[in-house]
Amino acid sequence: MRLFRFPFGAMGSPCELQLYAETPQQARGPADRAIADIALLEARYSRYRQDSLLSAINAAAAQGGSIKVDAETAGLLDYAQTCYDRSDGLFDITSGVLRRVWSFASGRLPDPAELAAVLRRVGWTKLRWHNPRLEFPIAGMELDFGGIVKEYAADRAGTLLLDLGITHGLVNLGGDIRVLGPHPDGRAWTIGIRHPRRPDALLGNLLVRQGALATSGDYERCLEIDGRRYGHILDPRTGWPVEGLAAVSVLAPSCLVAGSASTIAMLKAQEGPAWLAGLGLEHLWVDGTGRIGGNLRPSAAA
Amino acid sequence: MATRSGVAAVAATRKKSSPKTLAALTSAALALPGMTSHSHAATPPTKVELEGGLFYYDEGPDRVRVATVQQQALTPVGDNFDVKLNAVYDAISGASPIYNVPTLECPGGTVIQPTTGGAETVSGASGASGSSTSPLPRPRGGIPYTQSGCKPIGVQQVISPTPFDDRRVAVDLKANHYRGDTTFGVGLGISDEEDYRSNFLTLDLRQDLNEKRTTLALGFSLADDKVMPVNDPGFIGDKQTLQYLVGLTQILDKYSITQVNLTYSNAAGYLTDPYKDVFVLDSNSVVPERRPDERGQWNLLGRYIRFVPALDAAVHLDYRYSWDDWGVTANTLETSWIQTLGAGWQATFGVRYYSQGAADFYQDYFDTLPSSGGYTSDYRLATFGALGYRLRLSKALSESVRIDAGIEYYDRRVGLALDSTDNSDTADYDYLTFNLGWKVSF
Repeated sequence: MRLFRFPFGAMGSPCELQLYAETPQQARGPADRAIADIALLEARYSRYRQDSLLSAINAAAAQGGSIKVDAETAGLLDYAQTCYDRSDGLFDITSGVLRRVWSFASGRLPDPAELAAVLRRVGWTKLRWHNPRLEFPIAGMELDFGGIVKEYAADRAGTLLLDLGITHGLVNLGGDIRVLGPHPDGRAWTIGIRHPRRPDALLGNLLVRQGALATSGDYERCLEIDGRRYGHILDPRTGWPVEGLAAVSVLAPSCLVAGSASTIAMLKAQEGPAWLAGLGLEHLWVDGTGRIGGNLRPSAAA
Repeated sequence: MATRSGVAAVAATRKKSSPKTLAALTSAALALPGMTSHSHAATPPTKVELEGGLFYYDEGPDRVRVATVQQQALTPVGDNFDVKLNAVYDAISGASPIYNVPTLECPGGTVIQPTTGGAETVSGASGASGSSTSPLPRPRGGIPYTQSGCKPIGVQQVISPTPFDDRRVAVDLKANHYRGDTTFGVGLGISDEEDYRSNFLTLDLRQDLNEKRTTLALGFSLADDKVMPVNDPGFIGDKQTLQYLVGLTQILDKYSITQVNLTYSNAAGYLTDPYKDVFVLDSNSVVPERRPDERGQWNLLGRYIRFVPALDAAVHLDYRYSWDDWGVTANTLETSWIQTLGAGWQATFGVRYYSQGAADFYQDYFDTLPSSGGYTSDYRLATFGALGYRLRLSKALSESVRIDAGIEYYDRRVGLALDSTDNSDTADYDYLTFNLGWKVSF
């Protein structure tokens, strides 16, 4: 069997499928179907597309109306509610609206009055979710499935590829990785973990045979003012960036759970390491001072 | 300024029970469409599996009882092979019916029941049966019953009066090779009893097609058996059975699967049961049964499985039709409901209906022996129907340990057959089976 690699762009990130097959045709067919499925999810849940299902939901949210959703969206909302409940309200898909006042490209902090105004429209408990109806009692809210849909797409692509007979390979959607199975000779995949403070360096490598690995960090977008760093992970209750952890990687059976666990740990900041330790998943964290912890130990990068 | 921000607020958050958190996240994630695979793709096992069971089969007082211990081990070998070893030990005891006798009403109102008056003592026993004349009182004048004006008014079953006791040991080894969409299997086995020995070989091939939505299965098996009846020292009967299978499994949609299998088997050699006799009215004698030395048998299976997500349950529906060149035809309809109950519990309830038409050479008893062909009064080749009910409970104690317990009740009645013309209930019986099983993987 040979390894075939299919790089592509989706969900605003560089993505890649690495699949083992006997012939290029045997890899190409499944790869095309997986990439099409990812594109379909992106089209449905993209904030940036006017014709997306999410835009229709947000149109209802903007007016303070209500909308009946399909089973898949209902599943995502149930999942989002579970994340909210299990994170003491830190993981909140209504917090995306905070981006309107936090412009990480502008180089300045938000105006406190503007922030306070936007915060009034943030909070999962401010909407009503009774499957299949989603109701927005107050106008001007906004949902953002970032942090859920990309990971869900990686899992779906993984399941689809397994169903199509690809049992050795991986799906990488912008660093959220779902492993289909080890290399054909049984070797684990060597996955590099980015250093949160040095963009071109790796913290080390992790060996992954099965499951999924997701990483959250404060480094993707941030703002530095007077030597102080403001990351893009915002506490939905205060509207301010959380401080404490620089990056968290979690290994789980599904990319979705790995992704939300790493995001919740980032949001938990100083409490993140303890929360992760109690969760029961293998993980790795790096705090703002560069200290590394967790029960996953990266090996030196080759 | 930033110190009054997120950090302080986050530090004040409560901690929640994290193992519950993982379970909640996992179950919400698995509820999403496309998260779990519905493919039944053949992949080699990745774990060692040990499986064992205890079975007890009981036909009731004075009839057959079987106690079985089974143990199986399956282990992957490298990436593309697995090997399975299976061992079974049976302890069989009791007695079974060996032939039938009519009850006769003779001129003058005399009723004669040939089984009474000591007939059983000479003809019944496994190991003692032979071409023995029963010591029945002959009708007046010594003429055969068939010419005496006596009429049969009923039939009775004669159960072997000397119970048997046997042990069976069977061992088989099977290896599978997984190569992409293809799986090859080879198996070898032996089964050994005091009076029966079987050696067998199986070959099978599974090919996934159509992106694993379709699976084609081909199978072949060869069994070479020897019968060494304890009632006929020195005699050895040989029997060879070849069996061919072609099957197709089709995934219809996310929730349903259908399967069709066609099997043909051909047995040649000594197919007679050395412990079964027939009663010949004309000569008042009990003689060993005789069967044709070849049997070709067809079996068609249609199966439909549907998962019911709203109830977290699955329903199985099976229909089998079989026919052979002995004239035996059978219909089986079986359905079961498998219900997931949470906390690792699963319950299965099943109902089975079976109906069989008798072999061409079957009669309850014979007036005279046919001059050619076979003759049997074996209740298993008669016309009958049956209803079976099955209940099974299983519980996953952890991800790697599962235990289960089951009970089955099976009620065999001549009157339940589809084309039953007989209302005699002498051959009716029922049985109960109990089983306990466990499976460990690591």
